[in-house]
Amino acid sequence: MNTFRLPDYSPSLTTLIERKYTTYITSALFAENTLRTLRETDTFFYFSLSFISLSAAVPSADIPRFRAVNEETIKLDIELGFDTGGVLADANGTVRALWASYATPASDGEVDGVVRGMFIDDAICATGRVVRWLRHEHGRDEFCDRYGLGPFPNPGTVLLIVQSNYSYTLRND
Amino acid sequence: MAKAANLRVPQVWIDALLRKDPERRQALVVASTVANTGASKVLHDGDVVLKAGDVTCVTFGDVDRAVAGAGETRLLPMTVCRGGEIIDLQISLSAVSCLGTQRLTHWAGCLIQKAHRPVAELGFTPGSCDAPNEVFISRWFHGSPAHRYGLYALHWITEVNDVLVFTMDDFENAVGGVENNTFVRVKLVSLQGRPKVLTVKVDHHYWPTWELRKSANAGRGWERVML
Repeated sequence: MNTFRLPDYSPSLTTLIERKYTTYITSALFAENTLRTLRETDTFFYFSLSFISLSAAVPSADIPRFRAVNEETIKLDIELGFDTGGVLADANGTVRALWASYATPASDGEVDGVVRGMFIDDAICATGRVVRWLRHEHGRDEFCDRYGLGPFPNPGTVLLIVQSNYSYTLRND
Repeated sequence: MAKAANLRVPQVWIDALLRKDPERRQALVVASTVANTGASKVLHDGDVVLKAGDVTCVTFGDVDRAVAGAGETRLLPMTVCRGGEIIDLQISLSAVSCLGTQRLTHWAGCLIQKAHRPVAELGFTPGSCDAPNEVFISRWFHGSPAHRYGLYALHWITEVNDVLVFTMDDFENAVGGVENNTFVRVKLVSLQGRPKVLTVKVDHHYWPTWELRKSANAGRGWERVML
């Protein structure tokens, strides 16, 4: 909880993209409540903005450390580097996973960062639980105040997502 | 699935798991349990999870949904295969706080806090479910009494001068009456449950006792309280 933050996202505040493109940016569709998880041969598209990173700071504490448990992650055949975050989407542009940073023990007792896909279902479910708990703990008004939120966030929209046509536009530049 | 068969899961259950997900062909096995939880009382390492609630389980998501469906009773029926036998279990779900560290005490050059979850995930915590020990050394400083007398990280403190301590309050009360430059007898328990007893000479001048706590005031910042 000490490291939990809710990013608030408004396309109009994005400085990286010229204003004329921001009209293309809308909330992406999330693949929620999918009972069929991904398979090894499924096709993916990877979208990324260089200034968005979900990397988690791993403190240099002694073991035992936090690690992801009971969680399925997506590993891609190609190595995309360690410092880019983004999303994995299917051919329809529906977001299936976040491309997110995970901590893993290194052989020397330290920690290595790896980037893996975190299923969007799990991510929304987890943020939803924390948001519900915060609401319960603080009450609606105090909660919005404390986290600098305007309208009450829907757990599904607190994640930062960009739709596919944006990525396409950038490439054509 | 071949491994599940090796763990002597009966063919009817292997067929049921295959029907649930014909492509992935996998089963869940209990790798370890978190100390002092309902699961740790009834599940054994190596149990093959077959069913949770009404759901045949082949993914973590299946178990998650079953847990979410358990409702107010906080009881989750599970079916597992243990050593070839099918066993029905009733698991009492444990509440987990997502708050993180809220309080940290510095004493004699070591930092003491409630153990973070990865510690419990190793499978051992001294004390019982009802009275778990939460006096855990997470760090120590070079040149401090903790350093000199061997009060190292990754140990619980279970006794101070023969008084049992379980909570941070117990601990602060126990060390509160200790005079400066005197010896304190401390019983430690390691991550593996191995006990040891040390004497520590406190130095209130250079290594005073203080506490960092999350303030209840707006902003939820940390405040330091000298003890």
